[in-house]
Amino acid sequence: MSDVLHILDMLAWFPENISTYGAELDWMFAVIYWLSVAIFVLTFGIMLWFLVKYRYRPDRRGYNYHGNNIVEITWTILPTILFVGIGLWSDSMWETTKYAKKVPVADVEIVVMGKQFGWYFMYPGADGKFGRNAYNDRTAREMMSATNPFGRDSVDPAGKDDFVMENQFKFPVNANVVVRGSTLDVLHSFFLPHARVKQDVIPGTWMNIWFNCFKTGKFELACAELCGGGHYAMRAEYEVLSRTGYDAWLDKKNAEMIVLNGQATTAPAADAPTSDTTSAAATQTAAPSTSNAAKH
Amino acid sequence: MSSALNLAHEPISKIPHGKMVMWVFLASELMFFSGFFGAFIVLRNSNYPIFGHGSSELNIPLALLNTFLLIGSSLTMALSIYNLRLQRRGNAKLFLGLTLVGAFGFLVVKTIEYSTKFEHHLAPGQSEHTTFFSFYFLMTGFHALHVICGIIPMLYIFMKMYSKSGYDHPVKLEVLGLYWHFVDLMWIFIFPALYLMIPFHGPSGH
Amino acid sequence: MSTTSIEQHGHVEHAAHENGHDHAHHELPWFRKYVFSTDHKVIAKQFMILALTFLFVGGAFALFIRWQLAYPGEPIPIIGSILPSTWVTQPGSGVITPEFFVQLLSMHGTIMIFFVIIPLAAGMFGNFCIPLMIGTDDMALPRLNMWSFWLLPPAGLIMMSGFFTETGYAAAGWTSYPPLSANTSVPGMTITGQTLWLISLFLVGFSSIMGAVNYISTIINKRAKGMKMFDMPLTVWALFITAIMITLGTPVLASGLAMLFMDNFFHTSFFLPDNLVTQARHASQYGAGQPVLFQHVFWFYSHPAVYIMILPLMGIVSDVMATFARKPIYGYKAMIFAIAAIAGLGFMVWGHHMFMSGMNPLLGTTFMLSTIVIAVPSSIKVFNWLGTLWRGNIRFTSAMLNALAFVSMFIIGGLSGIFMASAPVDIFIHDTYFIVAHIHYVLFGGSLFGIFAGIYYWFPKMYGKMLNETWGRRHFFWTFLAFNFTFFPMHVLGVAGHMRRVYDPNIYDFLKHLQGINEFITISALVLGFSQLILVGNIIWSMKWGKKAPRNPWRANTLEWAAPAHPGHGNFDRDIIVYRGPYEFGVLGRELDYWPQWEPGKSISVHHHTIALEETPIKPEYGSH
Ligand code: HEA
Ligand code: HEA
Ligand code: CUA
Ligand SMILES: [Cu+2]
Repeated sequence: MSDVLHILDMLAWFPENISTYGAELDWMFAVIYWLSVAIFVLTFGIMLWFLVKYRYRPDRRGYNYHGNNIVEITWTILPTILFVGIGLWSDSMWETTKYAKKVPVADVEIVVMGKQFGWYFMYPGADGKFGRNAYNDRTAREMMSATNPFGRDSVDPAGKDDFVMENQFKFPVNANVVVRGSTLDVLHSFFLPHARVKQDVIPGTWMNIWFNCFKTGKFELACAELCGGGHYAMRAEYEVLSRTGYDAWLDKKNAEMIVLNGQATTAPAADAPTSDTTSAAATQTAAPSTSNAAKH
Repeated sequence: MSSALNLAHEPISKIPHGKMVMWVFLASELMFFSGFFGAFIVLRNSNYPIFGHGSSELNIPLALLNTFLLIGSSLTMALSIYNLRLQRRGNAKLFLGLTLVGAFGFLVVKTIEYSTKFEHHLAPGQSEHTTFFSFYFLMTGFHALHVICGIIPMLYIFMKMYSKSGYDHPVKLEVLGLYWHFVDLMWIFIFPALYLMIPFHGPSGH
Repeated sequence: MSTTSIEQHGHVEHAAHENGHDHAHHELPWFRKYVFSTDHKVIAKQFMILALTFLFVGGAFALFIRWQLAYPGEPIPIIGSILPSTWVTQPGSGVITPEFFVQLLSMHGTIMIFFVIIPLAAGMFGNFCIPLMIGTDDMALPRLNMWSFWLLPPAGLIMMSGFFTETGYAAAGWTSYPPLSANTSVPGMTITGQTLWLISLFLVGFSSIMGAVNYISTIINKRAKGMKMFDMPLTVWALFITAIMITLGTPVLASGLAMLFMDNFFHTSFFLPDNLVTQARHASQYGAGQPVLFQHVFWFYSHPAVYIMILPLMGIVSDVMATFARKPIYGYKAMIFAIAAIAGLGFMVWGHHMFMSGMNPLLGTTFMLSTIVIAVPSSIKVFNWLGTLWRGNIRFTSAMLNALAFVSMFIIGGLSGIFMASAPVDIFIHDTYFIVAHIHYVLFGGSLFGIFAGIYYWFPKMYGKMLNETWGRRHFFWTFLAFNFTFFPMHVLGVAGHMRRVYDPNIYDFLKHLQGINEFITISALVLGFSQLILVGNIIWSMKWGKKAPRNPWRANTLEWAAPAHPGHGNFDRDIIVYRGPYEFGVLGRELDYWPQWEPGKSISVHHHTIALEETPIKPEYGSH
């Protein structure tokens, strides 16, 4: 309850920012915040002042005055200038964060698939490129299923070493991470509070999301678009690793993959524990199965 | 009692209330259909093959026949109003009858069209259904619904004309006429959109 | 202050009251008089009663939501034990399930918007004010008007009967985005809460359209003799423009609902892409739908809808403020143009709800600019309200207090709108409690306070009785206080990243520290909720035992006050001829500080001042003041 006391300094409540453009976003919020405070104090103050100054007096009489065009025009122009200013300033920032052409070259590329209620993250693996899947080949959508969320083509050799993680992912610090996001079923929203990232992901299309974090550590990912009863629990964790840490981790993963591909064990991704264990092998199994069964 | 006062004066705009309300309502109706058309344009332009294949399966001659039926009924409706204004009860009755024939004819042809679609498994939930036919059934369906909503008052007035008291509210019939012309107009949009504007007719994923 | 006017015109009042009633002495059977009545005043009362009932239902739902958020996993006090087993985690546990939580918040939003604010703002005030304030006997088409009300109760029943479907109420938020709202996980042709939701909203939409077309024609066709468009009170102007928005916006929503219904029930694929992976997938391989398309259609209506929910109250608040500040509206024409501008721009900004939806960011830019521009007319209105208070003679009746609350709360809500209007800022606060705070500051702090103001202001004309002032003030005090305690902290939750529509924030480490605020909010919400009982109590009590109202208790200028204290069918007992604008207070050269529109008399306008030429004899037998 003690928190309640300092709810008024709103800016103090932001979660710590860890992404490069986050700082400017917060700054932008702060500017608008102080502007609003000023405007509110001004307007509300004037109102209170009038209410006190012109409160009812039997001997007083309302002043019959119907308004003045010069005044009207001034207080139309001033806010307009102010607002357009805010708008133009905002736009530059908007372009850097969202415009497709502003997405930087990827140091790390991850394909993300949301589902009720969890997240899959796919990495290209040792060869650094993805095999045929629903992201890079639309026809592969046919193969998407609960067990093969990315619609991966089991015969494509390039896909052999791609690995999938469930409800957690890792990426290096100070690297441009580019995420291609979509979902299996309903709308979800890819929300990294600390990285100031939010983007709805939509079944049937792919979103380009990018960010660049300057701080290592473990953070949380939340789903910010209502997606059913489990919406609140659609939580994932991500870890920003140092360069070396990340490379070490990658090597580990790739080694695991070689082993897995060696003895083609199959455990459905869905069942894979929410730990660091890869669920890549599973995604090999599902051929064009359920998708076609459903129709015709 | 208010009639004693000056409150219930004649409409300021000189347009009778009923007519005014209908005009405004038609504006509303227009927006209703433009919602459909907006969605149609968006999806059509991003799925030419599907829509091309779909519209190539439609029966243009039947639709053309329907167009003539509807335009004709619109004309007879106008004539009926005209005659009712001139107190030519007989003609008014005749033309309203013809309008009804046109309206019913339209529905009959629609049913034929629909039944073939069902035979070809194109209806929602059936195997060959595509987004194009979602639109087909949506738009023509709602349009047919409007036709039915027009027929009901028409029948009522038609009956009235046969009752001994007769019917002489040209304004009311005019309001109905406005609505009927709108239904006609909507068809004039739907017909080309669904049947004629066949986009590039490519493989449809079959 | 009402007392003074009582002393002054008590004698007149009775006469007025009598002949006010004998209009109603038609041979109408009771159910035509009180149930299927075509009298716009009765219909207005019906709207009010229906909507206030729903306010409590929706409010009760909100209190359930609040309990879960403040004390996740703890049983709900009294009610918890008697909840149906499908709502709680285990029978008797008294803890609601996540699924039920989502149903609650969806129904809360839907009810509050479609069954509380719109029926009150457009339905109740539209019906009550328009004919009276333009000095006519009734709507253009009274019977159509009756049906526009009688579509609502069935709609409400259909909505609430989602309770009986095995999936429960609709559970996709009041925005109900597909695919979630398209029932992709149940076999075709199953009726779920969502299906009923769609049917119900279709009826609601039809009801508001029927009302709106009637308003428009009434205002165009039935104004009293001598009343030009620019002699109309701002309330009527606001309602007129709102009605235009309804006629143009609502049908688009209807078309969206129709398409969604087909996806939902017949399993077509307007909004569903191919190869969805769900329990009962139905979107065929050829399903070429686009989920975002629905959002465009939905917001094309629902953003104008938010102005549909505020504009009438802006008009009402203007009238209330002019009357109790005893001052002409500052910049009457500017106010009208501002309303028109808001309405016009309102149709060009819908995309600001979709910055994160994945639509082309280019659109994001355009919508951001248009949205920011729409704040300008709102600014104009705010400044003109302040100008209206300037050099007034302000009386703090409960109506006035609520009107002032409207202005100040709308400023806060509007300013939070500016944050979200800036797309990059919206990245972080979208779908957080910052939005929820905005919603409630504009819809409760704005619309609902405005509605309260309107009720306090026109109750005398509705029931011929005065509302109790002291209880009115108490209601205002508690509501205003609790309202801010409830909803201001939500801004902070939002800034801290607290997502909306979450069942239990505590599973996120970065939200754990917000528990205290959530508790505080919930406690205030309970106070807020129960303080609404004061209003209801006051209304019921005053209907029966309230002081008899004179014709013109507030000494206002607009035409409704020319009608008998409790007007019957036909409204007026006198000819109405309009001689001047609605806001002639403190006219120079008159000993009375107000000058009703219906009173003969010449005046000239010099430098924005109105000067009466010769004092005109007033006909006391009408007790018009
Ligand atoms: C009555 C209802 C109402 C009103 C009037 C408004 C008014 C405004 N709204 Fe709001 N809005 C809602 C109801 C309303 N809104 C609802 C219900 C939602 C949530 C929907 C959902 O569930 O997702 C929403 C959501 C919403 C969003 C989407 C947020 C998101 O989901 O990410 C945005 C974004 O731009 C927005 C913006 C605005 C703006 C710019 C205004 C402007 O009109 C405000 C203009 C007013 C002012 C600016 C203040 C007064 C002016 C002055 C004091 C003058 C001086 C000021 C300056 C010079 C700055 N609103
Ligand atoms: C005018 C509209 C309006 C009004 C008046 C309110 C009123 C309230 N609203 Fe709500 N609200 C919305 C419109 C409105 N709301 C909308 C549109 C949403 C978005 C929905 C969505 O996300 O889809 C929303 C969402 C919303 C949320 C977010 C839910 C979520 O995202 O998780 C919350 C949470 O605190 C909330 C709380 C409240 C509270 C405490 C009140 C209080 O003011 C209520 C006060 C209570 C009453 C007036 C009734 C009092 C009842 C009694 C005294 C009886 C008591 C009986 C029992 C407890 C059994 N509302
Ligand atoms: Cu996924 Cu919410
Ligand atoms: Cu909006």
